[in-house]
This record gives sequence, structure tokens and C-alpha cells, in this order.
Amino acid sequence: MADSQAHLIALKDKHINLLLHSEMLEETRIKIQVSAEKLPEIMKFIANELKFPSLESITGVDWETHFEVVYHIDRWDGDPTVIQVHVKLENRDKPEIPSITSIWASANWHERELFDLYGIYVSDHPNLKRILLPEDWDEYEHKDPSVLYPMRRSYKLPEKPFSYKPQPKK
Amino acid sequence: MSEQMIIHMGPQHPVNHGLWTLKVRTEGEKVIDAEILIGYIFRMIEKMAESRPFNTFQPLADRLCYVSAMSWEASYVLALEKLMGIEVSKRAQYLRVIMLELQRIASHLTWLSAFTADVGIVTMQALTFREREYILDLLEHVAGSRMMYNYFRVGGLKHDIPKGFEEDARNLTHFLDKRIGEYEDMTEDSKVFRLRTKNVGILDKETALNMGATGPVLRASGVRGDIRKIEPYLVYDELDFEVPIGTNGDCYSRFRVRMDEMLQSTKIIRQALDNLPGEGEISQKAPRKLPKGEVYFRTADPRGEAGFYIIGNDDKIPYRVKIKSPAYSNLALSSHLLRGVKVADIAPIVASIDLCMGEIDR
Repeated sequence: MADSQAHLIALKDKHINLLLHSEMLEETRIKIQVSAEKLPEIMKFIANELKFPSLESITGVDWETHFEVVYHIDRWDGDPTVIQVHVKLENRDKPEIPSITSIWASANWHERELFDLYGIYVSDHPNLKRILLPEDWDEYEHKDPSVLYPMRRSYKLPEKPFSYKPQPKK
Repeated sequence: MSEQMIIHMGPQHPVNHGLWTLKVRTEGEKVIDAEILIGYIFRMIEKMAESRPFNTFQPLADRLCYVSAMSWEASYVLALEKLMGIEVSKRAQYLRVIMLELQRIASHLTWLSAFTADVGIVTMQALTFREREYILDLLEHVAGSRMMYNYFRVGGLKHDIPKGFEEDARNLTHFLDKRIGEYEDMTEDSKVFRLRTKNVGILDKETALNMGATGPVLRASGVRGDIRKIEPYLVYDELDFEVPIGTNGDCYSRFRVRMDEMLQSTKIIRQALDNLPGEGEISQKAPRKLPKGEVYFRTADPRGEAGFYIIGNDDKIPYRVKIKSPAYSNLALSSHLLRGVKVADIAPIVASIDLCMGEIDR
């Protein structure tokens, strides 16, 4: 626990002006929020100075009004701290975020997934194309953005949510 | 400089163990570049999780990986419990550990079958499945299903274990110890096996970390990375076990790590059976709604670090469910491993990663 606090203090010491928000979620989870432009700078600091060697996942969240991208970064030397970096993307029509593939190579596929399912453009990505959906998905007949990027909230599953509730007899 | 050629391996190819395409550019026998195409069984499981009440998604979490269903439903249920702040009874926790470790052995046996068949020991393919079936029988006795268990519940388990389970499980672990020893003899004594796995597909420590390797692939490169030790969940901190690591980071190390892990798992099961409390609530009431908040919960899946990032919004339907799949991370780095190897080495390298397309494509 003390370790996790120390990481947050180190982050605050160095980059207090870049952090839009910071808190401890639990004992071992650090949540920080930065702007998209400053993301590579803070990620470089986390990777090189705080020595967090591996990026676990990149999550896109559609908050109806804006997008949010969440990075989970951890280390494997026995320290259970996970740094959770949030980036808010206000521009809903043209969301864009810088790539961090040069810092962690594992970001490559996660960023492609972000582009594929959320339509968030990742600048400076070495190979930005669809990964889970077919490559020619955009050329299909449907041109509605919600269908092009199915993980957005506007895309609804065609089925009704399944319920175990017994139906009343007529 | 000879002519370059592009070979498509897949979507249905014996090397792949699932539907995905490996596009390799070769020059003679040497692989110059490898590209991986996935998404053939993309089902939008994350979207399904975000459009139904949290408890009705659990059977689908089973279907993330058809080889280790129990560990995926465990990850999901444990993440939800963390978000809701539920503490289940000691008995339920010990039973969960027993089921998870049985599942780990079954998963590794499936992997062993595929791996040995790919490197040329075809006899093992059937033998490991025989032992796996004993484990599946035991789990079927508990949960009622061979592969898709749906046994965990938020707040405990579906029901208590049947009569005689403890003795059966204990006998099975001794039996498995013996059999795993036999498998080691069968593989390590084989010269073909050693030639095809030693110093093939070497992944060094820094690259493994940077490229996001998890689980046995990471541990084979010499990193003692196991969530069960780093951030113990359930009752793993009360149990005595070791995390086997490799030194070389080649296919042989990955094989060795998984074999040692199976032996550790049988040890864990026996300890858990010894310590299993006789009394304890098996299933307790859970809230109907997810509280507002977020949780990132990690478990040690047989393939590596499985994570669930769940955002609750004071509703019974979760707002966002992100599934962090270990096989996805490991497959992403395999194109790096394949660069520069011989075409014949593709099979052992891909098999040593232990793929499960269900969780990669989601």
C-alpha cells in the first residue's frame, strides 16, 4: 500500500501541472486523468521513471457526451499497483488520441481495437486498421456511424435483453 | 537473394488451433515477416455484457474460453463482488480455489495435447485427453456440465459439492501427479521433442514485458509474474505454493513452466481440501444493482492475467465491461517471435503460446 502511495506522490512531484485529476481508487489502484496532448509525456514518465514495464489493456468508454480512454499499466516484480490513466476526448465527431505504441509495443493491438470498435483515431500508429471487424467493413452498405463502430452506445443489440423472470400465464 | 513468397496459414490450418490467419512472408525456409489476422468469431461479448443484467451475462462469460470456462466465470464474478464489496464465506472460497485449480490442470492438459502433437509426439495427444476427461468428470459431478459450468455465483456458489467429492478429488490429484511424471518422461526423453523446442522462439525478459506477455509465456522468460502471489485473491495467500519460472524464454521453458504449474496445482488442491472448513454459507444474498463505481480486477487465468474492467452505474446492467484477455496479448507478440525463424518452427512457437480464439475474438 505504501508503495502505491509513493508512486502517486512521485507522479505529483514531477507532473502536478499535467494531472487534471488524481486519486487512489483502492489500496493499489491509482487513478489519474490527463489531457490527450500530454498523454505521451506522462506515459514516458510512468514507463521510464516509475518503471512500469507493461501495459495491460486499453479500454474505450462511450459516455454519450464524450469518449474516455482508460489505460491500465502494471508491473510484475511483486508490486500490486495498477496505474489507471484516463483521457477524456471531448470532440465526439472527431475523437483523436496519440499512440503510445513506441513506449509499450503491446499497445499496438489494443489501439487498433479502439479504432475498430469506437472509431477513435489513433495518430502516429504504425498500422492503424480494423482488427476484429472485417477490413472492408466501411464499404458495406451501412454508412451509419453507430453501425460502423459497434461498441458505441448508439448501437443497440437487435435482441431483447434476456430475462429469467417467469412470464405470467394467460 | 531468393524469391519471396507469402504463405497463408489459416483460417483453418492444423497449426492454428482455432480460426485465425497467419500470413507469413518467406524467403526460402526463412520467415521474413508474419502478420496475424483475427476476428473470425467476433461475437461482441463486451456489448452483450453491457446490454443485460449482470447475473444473466455469467453463462456467457463461460463461453469466453471453451477450455477454461471456470476461470473466466470466476474472473467475472470476483470482479463484481469486488465492486459490490461482498465477502463470501471461507468454505465457498476454498471450494472456488479447488475448482479453479482443477480447471487449470484441465486447460494445461489440453494445451499439452496440442503442443506435443505439433512437435511430433502424436501419442500424447490422446493420452492427455484421457486424464483431462477424469477432471471434467469430476467437475461435471459438481456443476452438472462437462465444459460450460455456470457454477460460480455472485455471493458464493450455485450449490454445495456432492457427497464423496473430497475423496475423489484427492485421489485424482495423486493420480495426476503420477501421470504428469510419466508425461515428462515421454517428452523429455524424446530427442525430437528436445530438438524442436530448445532454443526455438526465444523471448527475452525486456521484450516479453514490453510486448505485454502474460502467464506462462512471461514466466518462461524469467519474470515471477503471477497474480496469485502479487495480488492474492480468494484464499491463495493462505496456501503454500511456488511460482515456477523458466530461464531461457524458449518453447521448452514454456513447456517446463506449464508442467511445473500442474504439479503446483495438485499441491494447492490437496492443501485446500485439507483446510476446507466444514461449515460455511455457500450462497449468500447479493444486491440486485451494481453500485456506482469502477473496478479493475485481475485473476491468474491458465493463460495469464485475465482482467475485467467493470463500470457500474447504479443499475443492474453494467455500463461498461472490458475483458482483458491474456491470449490476446500473447498472440499479439507471436508475430515478433516468428520473425527470422524457419518455417518448420512456426508450429512449436504458435503452439507454445496456448491460444484460445474464444477469448481473443471475444
